[in-house]
Amino acid sequence: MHRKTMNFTLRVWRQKSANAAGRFVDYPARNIPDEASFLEMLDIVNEELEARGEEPIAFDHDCREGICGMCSLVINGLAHGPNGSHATTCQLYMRLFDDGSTIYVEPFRATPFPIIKDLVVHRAALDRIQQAGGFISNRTGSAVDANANPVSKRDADGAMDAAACIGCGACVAACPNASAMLFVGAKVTHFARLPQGQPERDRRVLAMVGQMDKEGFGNCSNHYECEAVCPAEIKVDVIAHLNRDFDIAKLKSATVGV
Amino acid sequence: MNALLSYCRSSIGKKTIVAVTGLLLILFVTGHLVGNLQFFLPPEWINAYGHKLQSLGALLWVIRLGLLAVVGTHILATISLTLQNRKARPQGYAVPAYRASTAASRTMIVSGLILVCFIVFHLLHFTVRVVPGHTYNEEIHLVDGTVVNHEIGGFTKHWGIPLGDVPAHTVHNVHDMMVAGFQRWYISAFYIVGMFLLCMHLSHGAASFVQTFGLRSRQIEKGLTIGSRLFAWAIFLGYSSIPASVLLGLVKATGSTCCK
Ligand code: FES
Repeated sequence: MHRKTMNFTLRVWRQKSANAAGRFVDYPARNIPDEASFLEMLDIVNEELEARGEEPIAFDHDCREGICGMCSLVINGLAHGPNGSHATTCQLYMRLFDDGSTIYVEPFRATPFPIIKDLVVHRAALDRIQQAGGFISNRTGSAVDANANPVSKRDADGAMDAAACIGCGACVAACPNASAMLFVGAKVTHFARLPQGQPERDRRVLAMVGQMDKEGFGNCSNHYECEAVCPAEIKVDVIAHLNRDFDIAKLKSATVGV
Repeated sequence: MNALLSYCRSSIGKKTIVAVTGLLLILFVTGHLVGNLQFFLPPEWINAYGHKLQSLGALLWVIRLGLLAVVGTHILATISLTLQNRKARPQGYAVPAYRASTAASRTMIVSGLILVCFIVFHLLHFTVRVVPGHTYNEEIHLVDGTVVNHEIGGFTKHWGIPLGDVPAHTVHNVHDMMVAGFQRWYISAFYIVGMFLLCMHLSHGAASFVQTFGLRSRQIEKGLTIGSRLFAWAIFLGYSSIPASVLLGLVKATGSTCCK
């Protein structure tokens, strides 16, 4: 079988631990099949490193089929790389790169995402935001009949689009302000558009935004870089929704209570 | 009170403060432009307009201080947001790449802070009138300088509002002051550069406040982007036309002959 192979120079961020100083190190990536994914390419480079007795490059991954949101990386300045089709790094293929080019590989950079090692960052800040209110508290019991809770098509679609978020954190990485508002907006919108989300709607948005601010994320200034890289194609409409819901909830909490 | 404070400290609260004050400033620059464009009408128009504004008395100071408060709040909130944003990403990417943002959106703090310098100069230039080397033909001497003036160049009302009673010698020849003020090319150039920065600032800001108010959606996204850019360019062309027409000699000083 004919296989086209490619060669690259990787300029990779290496950092021993959270508090160690990091730096870029160049590695040759030789004889990479053009149908290899970006992570498979890193595997090949790591095998060579290990064979030479060097420390392999640490990076995050899990499902490798674009659904779990575990893989990360900022490649040539773009979160999840130069993928035009809204996909994760594990779904990014080497044929998209120019043969012989130099590729910058960096971790997602944001203060609330501390680097654990090399390209691996700790994204638990997103989990803590989710735990602050990204759920409904009532017991769901067994599944009810499909039509027991009528939901309009518009709201069902809006909630479904928002629920597509896989929590990878690329929005934070891509935002020039390191804001997490696309993530929080998706979680808030997801519940706010469904009847099950109504009882805790105000408390949820106040708690989640409160936690988001506490984690030290930046503030959206409407660059919309997040929308451009989101592998789940979440739209910045959810940030408008978040702003709206937060303002209303704040007003209610100051007057009638939430 | 506590609720208001906690709102103002929150990320979205601060963003809303920026959006509200930004909207007020958008309304101001639009109104100010409409007023200034009377420069192209017969000189009596803008002179009567200036006279009307100056005879507002205490109300004028309320408006001035109100504007100052709005500008100050806009700046304080944006500086606070920007500092938080820098803290959230102390180390940038080695090769920054952008897909959706614009040069205008990424330089809001820069264009904004330079505009502050512009505003200070503008106030010194035309409100306090202390820019050295400038003489303004700023008074209109009516035939009888001692009469109380109800009338400028035949105007007893401006936009339907009666002119106040002010001694004639305090009526400023705003028209000639503007011509004199824009006579030097470097001052006009400074104004035009300033207006270009305002244009950049507005092209992002005029669409941004709609999103911050939570009113933007996929349906209006295109129209909003185009609309805010058209608005920003209209503001730029409108304001720049004044120094440009003076430099090109299209509008000339009228001296005191403009009135009677
Ligand atoms: S590894 Fe699961 S989405 Fe990439």
